[in-house]
Amino acid sequence: MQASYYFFYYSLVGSLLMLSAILLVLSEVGTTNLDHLLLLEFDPVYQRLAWLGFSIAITAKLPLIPLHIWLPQAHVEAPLAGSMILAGLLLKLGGFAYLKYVLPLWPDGTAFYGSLWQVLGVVGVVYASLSTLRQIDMKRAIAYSSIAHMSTVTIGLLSATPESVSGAVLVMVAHGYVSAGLFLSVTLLYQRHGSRLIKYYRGMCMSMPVYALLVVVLTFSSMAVPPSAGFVGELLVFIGTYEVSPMAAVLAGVGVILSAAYSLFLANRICFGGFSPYIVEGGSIFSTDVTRVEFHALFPLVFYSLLLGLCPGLIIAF
Amino acid sequence: MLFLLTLPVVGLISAAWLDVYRYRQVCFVVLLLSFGFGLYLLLEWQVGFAWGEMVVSSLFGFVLPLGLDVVNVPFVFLTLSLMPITYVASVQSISVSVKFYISVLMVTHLVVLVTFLSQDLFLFYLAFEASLIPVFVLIGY
Repeated sequence: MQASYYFFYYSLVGSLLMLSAILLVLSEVGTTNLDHLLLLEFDPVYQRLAWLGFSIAITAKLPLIPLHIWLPQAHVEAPLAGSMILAGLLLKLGGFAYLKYVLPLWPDGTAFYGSLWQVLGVVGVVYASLSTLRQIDMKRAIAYSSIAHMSTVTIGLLSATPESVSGAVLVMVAHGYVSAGLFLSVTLLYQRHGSRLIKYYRGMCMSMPVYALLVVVLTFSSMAVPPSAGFVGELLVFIGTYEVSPMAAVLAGVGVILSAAYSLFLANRICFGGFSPYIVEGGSIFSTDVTRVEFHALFPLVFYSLLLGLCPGLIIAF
Repeated sequence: MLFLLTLPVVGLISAAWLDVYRYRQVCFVVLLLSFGFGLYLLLEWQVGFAWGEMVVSSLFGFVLPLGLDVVNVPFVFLTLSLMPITYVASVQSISVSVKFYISVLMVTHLVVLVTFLSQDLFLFYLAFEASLIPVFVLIGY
């Protein structure tokens, strides 16, 4: 129950600042409808204040680095649906708020504070990737890799070029499918063997071949290898960011290498190698492969990720 | 688009007289229908049928600040395609108070959809906050 409270308080305190920004807008122009607001020109001082209020709320929600503590906690304690919805949908609310409201309404705030938040994003990419390498719990590892991905998204969104913004959308959608799939596959292992610690698992490709195939494809999608949607998204993000600030693009590019490091580490430990003596069930080294229902849940996630990588125009049209 | 929002409400109301088994089926059908609608949405959008313009719903003469444009569509499709998968993957392993669990999932579906369809700062804030409650329950479940 502890983690729910973490989640609740972080989001609630953040969104109080969002509420005060909305009230500021309301008292200034008397409407909160987006159509009307887009026609108006805001005073730069108010733009910056409103931008700051929204961004702190979004920072707690995405999450970016100083306010990210609730996410690994929540993922460790949450059951499967909680993890999938949290990683797949709830983290995207922050990105959606940037895309829909903050970037079009207050460009002056983006110009003023954008690079500060990009620094948070760069720190997030490197720090979260390095933390992922040190995790012993699979769910924690995937949660930290979510932080790294959402930091990339932030860097792309706040560059505010058309390429980087559409790339950020694609990274978000791809991350929604891929991280949900990874959480699902970790939970399948947990349901069979009762542990989420990485060091107990080895050689799953011999006892659960279909499962191992799906996990490897998901892992490669997570580290943005070409036929996956993450690749197109990250490429667009880096192209767009490089136009605005080459330094941020290069530093965020370090995240690509680090994401390959932790993704391969995770998949390699789980799927390949010899048999693990710890996961023997009743004298047999074979554990049950994915059942039909589990396959029908896991396969569409892999399919969407590859489909959006092959034709990203289905989703983005900027 | 109101169809999209009324479907989970219908599913939730049906909890009043259905038993657990039927309720599970009804909610799954609701999520699948929503997903079908999402596919239809994407196709229409690809064909270029006026989705570039805002689609504002009205209910009994009140204009609701909900709409679809180029920014909302990817997120709405993500929601509609991810929820049935989450449902299929998780609902079998739940043994206690299944009806409550399914209802929480449906409320999450509804609230996240409203957030992603919003065209108004205040409605966005309301839905953003409202999404805390079902997810709070889901994390602690």
